Amino acid sequence: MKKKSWYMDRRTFLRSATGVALGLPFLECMRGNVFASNPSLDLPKRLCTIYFPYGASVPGDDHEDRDWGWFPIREGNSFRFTKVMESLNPLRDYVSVLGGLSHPTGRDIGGHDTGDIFLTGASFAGANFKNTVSFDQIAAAKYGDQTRFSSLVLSSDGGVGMPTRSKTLSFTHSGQPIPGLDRPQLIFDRLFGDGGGTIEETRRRLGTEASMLDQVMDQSKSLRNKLGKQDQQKYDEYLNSVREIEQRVVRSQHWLDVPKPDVDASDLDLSVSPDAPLEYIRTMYDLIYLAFQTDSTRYVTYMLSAMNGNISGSFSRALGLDSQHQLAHDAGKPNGFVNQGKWNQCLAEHLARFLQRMADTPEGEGTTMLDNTMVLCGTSNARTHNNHNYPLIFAGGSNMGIKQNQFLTFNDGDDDKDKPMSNLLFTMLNRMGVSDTGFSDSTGDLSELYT
Amino acid sequence: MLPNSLRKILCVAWAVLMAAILVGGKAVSYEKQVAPLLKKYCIECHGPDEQENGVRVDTMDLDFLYGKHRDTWHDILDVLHLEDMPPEDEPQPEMKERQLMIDWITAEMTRAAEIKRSTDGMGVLRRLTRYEYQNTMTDLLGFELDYAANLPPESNSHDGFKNNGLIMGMSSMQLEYYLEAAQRGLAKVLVDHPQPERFEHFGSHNVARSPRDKDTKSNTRNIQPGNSFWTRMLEYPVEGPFRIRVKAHAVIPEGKGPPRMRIRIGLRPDTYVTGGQVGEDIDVFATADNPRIYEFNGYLDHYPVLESPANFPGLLVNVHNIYDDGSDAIEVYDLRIGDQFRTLNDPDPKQPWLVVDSIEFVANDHEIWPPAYHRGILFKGAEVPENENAYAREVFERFMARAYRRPPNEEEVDQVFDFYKKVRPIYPSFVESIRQALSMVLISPQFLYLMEPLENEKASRDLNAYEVASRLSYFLWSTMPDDELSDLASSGKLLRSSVLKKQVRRMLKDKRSERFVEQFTDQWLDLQALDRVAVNPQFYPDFKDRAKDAMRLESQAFFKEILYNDLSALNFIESDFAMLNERLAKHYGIEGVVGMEMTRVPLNPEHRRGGLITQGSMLVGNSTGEDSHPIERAVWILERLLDDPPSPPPANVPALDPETPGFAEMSLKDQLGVHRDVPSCVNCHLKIDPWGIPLEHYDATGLYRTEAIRLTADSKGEARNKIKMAPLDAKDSMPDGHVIEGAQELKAYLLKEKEAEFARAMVVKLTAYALGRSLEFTDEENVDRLAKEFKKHDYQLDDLIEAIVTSELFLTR
Repeated sequence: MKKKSWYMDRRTFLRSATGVALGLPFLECMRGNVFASNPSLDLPKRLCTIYFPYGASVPGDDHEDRDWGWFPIREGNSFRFTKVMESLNPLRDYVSVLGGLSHPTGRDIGGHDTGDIFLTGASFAGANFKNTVSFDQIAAAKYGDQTRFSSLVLSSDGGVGMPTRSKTLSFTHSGQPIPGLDRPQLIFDRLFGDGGGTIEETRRRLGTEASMLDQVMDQSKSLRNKLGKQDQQKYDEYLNSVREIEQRVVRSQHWLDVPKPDVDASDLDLSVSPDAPLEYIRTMYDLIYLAFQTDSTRYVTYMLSAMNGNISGSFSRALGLDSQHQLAHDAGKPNGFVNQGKWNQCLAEHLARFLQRMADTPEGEGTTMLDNTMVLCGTSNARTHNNHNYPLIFAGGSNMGIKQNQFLTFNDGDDDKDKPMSNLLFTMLNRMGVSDTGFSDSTGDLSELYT
Repeated sequence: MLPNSLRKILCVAWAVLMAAILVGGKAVSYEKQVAPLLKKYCIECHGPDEQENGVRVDTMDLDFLYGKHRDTWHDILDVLHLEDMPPEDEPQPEMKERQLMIDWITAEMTRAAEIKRSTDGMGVLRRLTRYEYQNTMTDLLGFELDYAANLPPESNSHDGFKNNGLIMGMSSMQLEYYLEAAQRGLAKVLVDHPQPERFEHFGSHNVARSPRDKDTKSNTRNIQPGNSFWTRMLEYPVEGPFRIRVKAHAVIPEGKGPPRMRIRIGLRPDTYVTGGQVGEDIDVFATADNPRIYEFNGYLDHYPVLESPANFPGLLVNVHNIYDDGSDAIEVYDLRIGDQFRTLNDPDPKQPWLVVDSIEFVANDHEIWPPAYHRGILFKGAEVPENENAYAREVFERFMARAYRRPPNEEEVDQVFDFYKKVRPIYPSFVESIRQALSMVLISPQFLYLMEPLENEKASRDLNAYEVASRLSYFLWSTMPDDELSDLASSGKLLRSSVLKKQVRRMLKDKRSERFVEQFTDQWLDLQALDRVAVNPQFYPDFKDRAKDAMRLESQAFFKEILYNDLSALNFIESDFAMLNERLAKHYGIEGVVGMEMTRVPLNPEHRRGGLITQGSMLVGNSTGEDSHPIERAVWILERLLDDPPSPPPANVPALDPETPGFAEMSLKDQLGVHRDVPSCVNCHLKIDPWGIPLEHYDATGLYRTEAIRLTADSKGEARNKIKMAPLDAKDSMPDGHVIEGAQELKAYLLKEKEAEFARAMVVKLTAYALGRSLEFTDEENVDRLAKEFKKHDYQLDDLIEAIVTSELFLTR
């Protein structure tokens, strides 16, 4: 069959769209930390976000159970962690607690509708539930081609869910949800597996896909001319999607000859399922760590638990507590803050273990993996149904100029004076060199966070 | 009379000619009325001399669609609404003047939005929705799998529908998942391995959770609600079709309904989670002296047949009595409740028992190999004829005719064939090459989209018979046309009006039409709202979330009852019957209903039910989870029943703050009154509130009440844990002066004053769903005709559907 002239154009387009050189990989040493063994490499700038739903334990300052609250207790110019964050004490130099931030677009929507926009700041006004791009995907679009996977999207509940109850934190530039991966074995295989076949088989598969997409593109192009003008606009979404997959196939072909990192999985329980919540969460964190360690990707989001998460909603039962939803609603009842605080404490312990592993992994001169990684962990309500004052932990990133060991409240203790959450997201992107023009509805950056 | 949404658009079209826009029925001229006000109150700081904030009101661009001042108009609207402008120390416009400016800007914005959405009545290329894709793949491949598992969820159009071409997106991730699903499906359907061995298992006693447990319940076959009968296979197949036959009967005590049987497979007994339902639930009526065999079919590939943990090996089949009378005694759906074992040997004689004699499990019982689903595509079975290429081409032609819902043209077959020839040499197996080629068909736009291309550059044309068959099939069945429709399309007979009508009747009688009922009611009535509202257990400790399932079913069953029994659609407003099961009847406090099946229950006035607006789905879905939400309820009625949605609220309106001291003691109407005090809010709310206030007697769980529960805090920031009771006020007056108190009067008002508007709304909603696009002013004449027909046929839905299908709207593009 005769090739039409646009064929060459498209190849040119592919080349230009993915950057100059399609970032040919440098993973010569596949075992251990890439950067520790290659001091000549530029240090990576990584991003990891973890989310849980329904807010956190936030008793008033005079409340008898204040020591089970999320936010630290101020003592003069300093502060001390409550029982909730005790496990983070050894990591204090790496960690800050932030309050007084919230998405303005999220303040007037349903108390359980805010998870979708945690990393996007999109407006659901008019109940259209159309989301916008999440901040990790902005980073992935800019620098994602430096690693085998431009980003990694994880979720305990898996998939995408439905609008306002999304089971993923990440959204594409057109606002489409990116399905979260939930099964440890699947995630491991995707990251480190050989695709269930030899390199030759994979090469064949990719070759088949490339030529299938070619053919589809071919016939689809000719169909376009038979459509009305408005139909053509709609149809172009389809054509663009085909093009994007082609780019991805080309990218995979480029990486094909670079063997996937040889990772020792003997310490991992990949068969664990969310039915064993604590083991499961630990494994998910381990997978993120491995992905960073092998420089398979630099941008990770993990919806540890989602609003109305059918599976993750009962994670807290692993501690003998009620479901997360119930814990949040019962916070005002006697012992309510203690119960919710215990669940928060458990979340903090898992985070601490993950951070500690990173802090123990040397990267660069005298610094560690955690210094090259910004970690954000939090939720999009203070109390349930109160969409202000997000309880947040912010960790790592000193090689990007981040200043830690702070307890910052950006609203002077008044929810109505919250600063936009997007200011934090922008600050993070900015420190990574991804954006200097703002993110979503940001109105500036948070200069307190960096030196 | 025009339907309201159309009337608005017509006004818009008219307004373009008149250089003025209709505001509340009156033409408002910018030059004569609005500009002088802006000049009078704003020009000093926003005029030729000064342009504070860069705003100058006397040179504004009046093009709200593409003009450079679109955002500025937005800002002006905001400051007018909030009375931020003119500044306090400057002369203030009169209330009426301010309102005029607000109304004019709002009307212009609405007009711009309508024009932007408009497709000149052409509809827009639409792809299959998620559920249509799932059904189509299942029918096309003849094999049940979760094809749509990874596809993103659909959004709703502004008029509530998911199948609107304009809003349905496509992304590379999505397309990758189409490809993945196609390959997953074809790998199952086209076999190139030897016939698997037939597998059989027979379980005649109820086994314990773990084979290591003592078999304490081996003789327990009397299964009370919430309990299960289990059988275990320690070795089992993981793919292929299977059949489960349960021999069982029921023991039904006086005053109770039949036990309902649900079959699950792939359950994890250590945690009681996952496992999938096989087939549909069945009410068991068979008696002890005449037990029956109930059969369930499925495909193992469709279920998460998990690797079982060491402590709990094996594949379990679970026969569950899910009967639920709504009482606390029964925790039906929560398989985690360990307590159920306690009652197994001593079931409650007051509850209906499911008595299970045995479970037979048979997998891979293939009469023929390769199986029928393989032969549906590779029609020569395992044989590969000598002329492989000719065979492949014929396979493609046949498959594409079904996938594209019309015969493919020569060029299209060439393209698939070319690809096939390219990959054939690199795959050792013929079958694998065919799989690849068919995968290409399944990611082609001709399959994923309902394509209605232009002919001879003409914008509008009659649809051909294949296109009509597709529209019809996706309208009433949410899937591809069946053989009968396809045959009628290929002979062209389908275009005859009499044949079309006959097909509509046939399709409505078919079980697949329940998909239409489910999808249309879900989308029209926004039944998903039930899932979005979390009922606060602090307020309603007795409410169980599973009541929401019954509420959703109630609305669907209600629609079904009206559609299938030729009842008048006016029953949607008020009816002397409800569709209830025991669970929901108990929640509503209506006695005498037994069983899980939604059945028709006669109503009397004391029940305070009837019609849609007093159904749980509407009342709960439009509540806050703590209290009623009169505004959302009002907007629901205006949007869904009258097709007259109010304009969205201006930005930055402060929400009602439930934590303000003293606020809690007010009735909601009074709380709204606080809101109405803001002058710019009044105008709209006078039109909205009276539609929601009369429903104040229904709480956030849809129950009748005489007082509202409130929770308050001692001080701000503290938890709300003080219960207070607040008075109710369900009386308000409509803009036309009618005073309405309570739900009954509201329904009576709707019937008496709004019959025509409701009927038109029904026509517009049903037609929008049928066409996969919103209706516009160019459709007005057709809608007019349909509404006339609808009334003539006593508002019967099946007649309306027939009229829509045979209308110009449906048969042209």
